[in-house]
Amino acid sequence: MPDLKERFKGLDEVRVPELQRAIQARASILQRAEYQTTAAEAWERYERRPRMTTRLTQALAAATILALGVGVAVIFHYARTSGPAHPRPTPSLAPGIVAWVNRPAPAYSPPPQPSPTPYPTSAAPCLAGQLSVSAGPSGAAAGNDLEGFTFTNVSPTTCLLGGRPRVTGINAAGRRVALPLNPGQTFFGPVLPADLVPGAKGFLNFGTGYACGSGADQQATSQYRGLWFDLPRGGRLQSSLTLIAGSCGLVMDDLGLHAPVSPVPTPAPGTPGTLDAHVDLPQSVRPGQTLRYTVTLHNSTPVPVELNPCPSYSQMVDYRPSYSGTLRAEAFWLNCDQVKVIPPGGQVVYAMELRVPSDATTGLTKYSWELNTPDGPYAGGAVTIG
Amino acid sequence: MEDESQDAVEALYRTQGERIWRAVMAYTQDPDLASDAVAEAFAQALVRGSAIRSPARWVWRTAFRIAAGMLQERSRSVRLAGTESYLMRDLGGELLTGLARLPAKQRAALVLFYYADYPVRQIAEILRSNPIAVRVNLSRGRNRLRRILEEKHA
Repeated sequence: MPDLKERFKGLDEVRVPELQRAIQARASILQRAEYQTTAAEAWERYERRPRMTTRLTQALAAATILALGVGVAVIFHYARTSGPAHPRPTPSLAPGIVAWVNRPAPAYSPPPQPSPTPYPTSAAPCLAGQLSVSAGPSGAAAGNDLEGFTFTNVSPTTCLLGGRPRVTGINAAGRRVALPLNPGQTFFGPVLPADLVPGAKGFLNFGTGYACGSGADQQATSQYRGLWFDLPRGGRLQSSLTLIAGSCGLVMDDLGLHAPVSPVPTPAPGTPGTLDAHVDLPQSVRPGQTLRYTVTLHNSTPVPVELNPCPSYSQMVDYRPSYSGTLRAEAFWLNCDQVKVIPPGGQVVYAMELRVPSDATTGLTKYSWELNTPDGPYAGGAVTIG
Repeated sequence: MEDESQDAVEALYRTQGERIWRAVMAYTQDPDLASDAVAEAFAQALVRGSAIRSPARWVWRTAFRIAAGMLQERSRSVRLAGTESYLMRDLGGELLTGLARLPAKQRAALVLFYYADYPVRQIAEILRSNPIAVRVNLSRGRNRLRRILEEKHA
């Protein structure tokens, strides 16, 4: 028998889930709590601050240029300007915050991702008798929960796993029903059809979430016991497995294997995609009111980032939070009137505004912000509507 | 300074993230719990920034302590039907199956010693224990695990 050290080396073969999104989401929540007080103070100053003059603007801009000239990493302090060519910005402004401007931009569509390399799919479709089903994998990231099922090819021949099965389960009333599925795919996809060699495993993923609706509705769950899987090419796999759907309902991917992970492209030095973004949101906003918050863009690279051409950004709030709900997404141009360059180590705080529809559902909702470039940056948080 | 510390945490995730997750998973016998504990440890490291002197040691220690707390919490609750350890069936390793039969403290000591390559003194620090107790857990765990693994081959 191999010694224990060798045995433990075998652990290296265990597949590890991707945790980066979960880490970033959790860090964002922790940071938000930490900055809550700071943000509240900033907004208090914002409201109390008298209007600044153009002369002060010019003085601050000159000071900034001077600071740039001597290579000092600075936090930019700008005041607003107004002019006939530009929409009127937010009427008052705290030092260190660049005014928001109501300058709508075209909706942004990121460049299409390269299609993932397909898996071999030459075998005959898997029949129920060739497969066994078990629970897992599961996971959570960015408010999405993954509940997956593993399909193992227990036959001596290779078969093709793919397509969309019909899944039924016994509901709380004791009746076998088809699982109610919302359109769309899970957060954890994509999944591709693939030939499964004997002993290989494929997956069927369900996505759900637990923060939809308002108040007590968010805690509601639906349980489906004794799941049956009717395969696309016929045959039924029966199991005693259970699936729990959160208040956001369920979405389901096709059967198959997760697409290979493509390497994430690195943004070119000096481009806005290299910036880091952080949002500071208030704790709550009422339906019909304007959500006022700040976005901080930080240049952590050794290269100055030019905001030329001026990038646009998108702000999104899921004000009827559910998989089938309405997502409010708006694109605006960043206020590049004064800030043309963010030097290495520098950061700029921008005021942001988003009108919350008067028919917005109350409750905790997700919010996200991104610069409209293929590389982001992205930031997000949560805010209570109500 | 903050950027440097964030870079250090990110570098740690790239180089040791998977290893930490596997170690915590072997200790807790639960991939979900391992993911939660490791993600929380890295997130806290990111937020604390330069306040952490040695991110690697800090994250290892924090992930194990968070996982230990979660295990304790879970022992007071009832698991949902159908969610019981698919790990044993699907990850299928004899080692993991064998580890599952050991007490948590022995499991933690073995994983940190044989998989994470930590010396006894640091294991004691990670587990909030002392070197003597760790040696006892290592010795008992090692003997018991060997017997379990030999049973399977008998």
